[in-house]
Amino acid sequence: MSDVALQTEDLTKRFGRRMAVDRLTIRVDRGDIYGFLGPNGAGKSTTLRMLLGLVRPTSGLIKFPVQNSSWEYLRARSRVGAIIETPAFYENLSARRNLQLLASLSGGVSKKRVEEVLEIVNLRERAGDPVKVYSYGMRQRLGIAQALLPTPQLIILDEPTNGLDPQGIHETRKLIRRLRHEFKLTVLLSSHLLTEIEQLCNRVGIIHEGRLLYEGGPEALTASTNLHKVRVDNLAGAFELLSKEHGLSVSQNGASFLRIDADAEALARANALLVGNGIKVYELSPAQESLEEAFLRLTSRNELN
Amino acid sequence: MLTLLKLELEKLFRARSFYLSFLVLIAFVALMLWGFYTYAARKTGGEAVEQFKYTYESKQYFNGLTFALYSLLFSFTLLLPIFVSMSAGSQIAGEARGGTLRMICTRPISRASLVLSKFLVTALHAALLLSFFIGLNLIVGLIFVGWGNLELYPGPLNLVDAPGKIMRDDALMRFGYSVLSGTWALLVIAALALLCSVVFDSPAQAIVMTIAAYLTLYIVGRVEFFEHLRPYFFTTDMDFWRDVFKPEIPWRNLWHYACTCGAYTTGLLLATVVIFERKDIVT
Repeated sequence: MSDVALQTEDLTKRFGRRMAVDRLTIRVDRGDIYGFLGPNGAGKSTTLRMLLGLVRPTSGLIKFPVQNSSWEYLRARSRVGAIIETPAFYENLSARRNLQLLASLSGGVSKKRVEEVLEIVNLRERAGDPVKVYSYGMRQRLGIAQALLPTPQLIILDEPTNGLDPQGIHETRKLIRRLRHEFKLTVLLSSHLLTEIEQLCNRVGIIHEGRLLYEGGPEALTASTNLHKVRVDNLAGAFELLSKEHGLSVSQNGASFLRIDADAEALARANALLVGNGIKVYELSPAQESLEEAFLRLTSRNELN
Repeated sequence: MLTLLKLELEKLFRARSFYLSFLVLIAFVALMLWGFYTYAARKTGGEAVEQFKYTYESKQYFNGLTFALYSLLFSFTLLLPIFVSMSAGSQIAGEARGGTLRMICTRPISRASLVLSKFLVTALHAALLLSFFIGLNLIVGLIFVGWGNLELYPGPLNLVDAPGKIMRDDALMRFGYSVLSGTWALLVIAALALLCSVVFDSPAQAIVMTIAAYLTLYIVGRVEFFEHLRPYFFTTDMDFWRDVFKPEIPWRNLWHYACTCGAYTTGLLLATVVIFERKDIVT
């Protein structure tokens, strides 16, 4: 069996003259929690809608593991669960009835499965209530329940914590981790919240203005720099001294640190220079760039280009 | 397809608007009954105008069947097309507005079968409305006006050119035929509304556009200036359903216009499927 749960090749979507997604190639492996990251309007939702057949791609390919014909594409897609934006249900019907109706459209989903997914998302006790009385968080959990109905191999969640209160966010993230560990699901999660991606995902794809800027592990993204932090007794003196030194890029990071972007050789020279000028060096350590900083670095570079 | 149909039926029977449409029809029948009594009383009191000159000479004219016929013909001009437009116009656009369309369309079902199941449910709704309305009119007519033969005169109904008569049992049969012919004619409106429902994302817009198109053609088709355009309007072809109330049913003519309406319905449905298959669901 292939290790790939989902792959796109040069996926493109144009709405009139506006390019929403531009030659996007991503690969989601089995067992991943893949974070699809980008600012609002970057093309995340359009991409996910294309994956689910809601939006027709202008060009490019979408590949699920087993798929040689359009019939097989439909069959493969039937093993994909999804929430796109806010989950919507028939308000007057109970949560259980809503799931039963959606189950009947999913093909081969039993009534027992409806009860199972209600149990997974912890909604079984309130399953008889009409959806119109549900809180936002409960709707979101019901959304995840409907996505789980076809016993999917891949689950696509579009900004699943959007609009939730802190408790709801915590519960949803816990549920997503559980889906991966307990039910061995592959999760494709779109978000514009960096903390969410940082906490949940083992792989990240960053999209900006429809283009993929980065794909890989979040650690690789943040560790791929020569940033170091320096704590000294005389911050202003050290900054002045190092600013004049060739090959070093220095910035002041808050009240107590300097940040130096330098390779190992230049870093040793900087240390010698500080000590040689009577400045006490208390700490000199790699400064890991936060995902937010890495994200801003990538997107601003893209804008400059 | 069968699953989708069951789902659509459940939604139809659970919708408040479904029952509301029947209540409005009951109110309309009550209004017609009041109007029938008061108008007849006034006109037979010596104020008969030229166009009613035959009508009030016949003591047999006013009976339950006449009442049902008047009520049906008047309601068919506007009331029933509005209900059918509302039912069909909200099918896709309503789901798109509510967000449930994307929930359904992410399931492994074909969009064509979704359109078809929604059309069939709308057709059932139209048939139920018409059957209920005709049945109610006949019952109310029997109880409050009494039955006799259906006498037809040239006049406001614009049904016959010369006086004629349909015997009571035959007339009842004709009302039965009119359920079929009327529903068939209303399907053109249903298909048009469904097309608008796919094109527009707002159900209100879809409904208004359908009613506007229907009324514009209906009114323009009755203005003398546009007489030469009349044969090209679908509203003219839709009028075939009334032929079942002529003393001698012009079967050949009826089948011809029934087929024309069927062609309109099929064409509009095909256009709906093609547009919906290509539509990006971004709501």
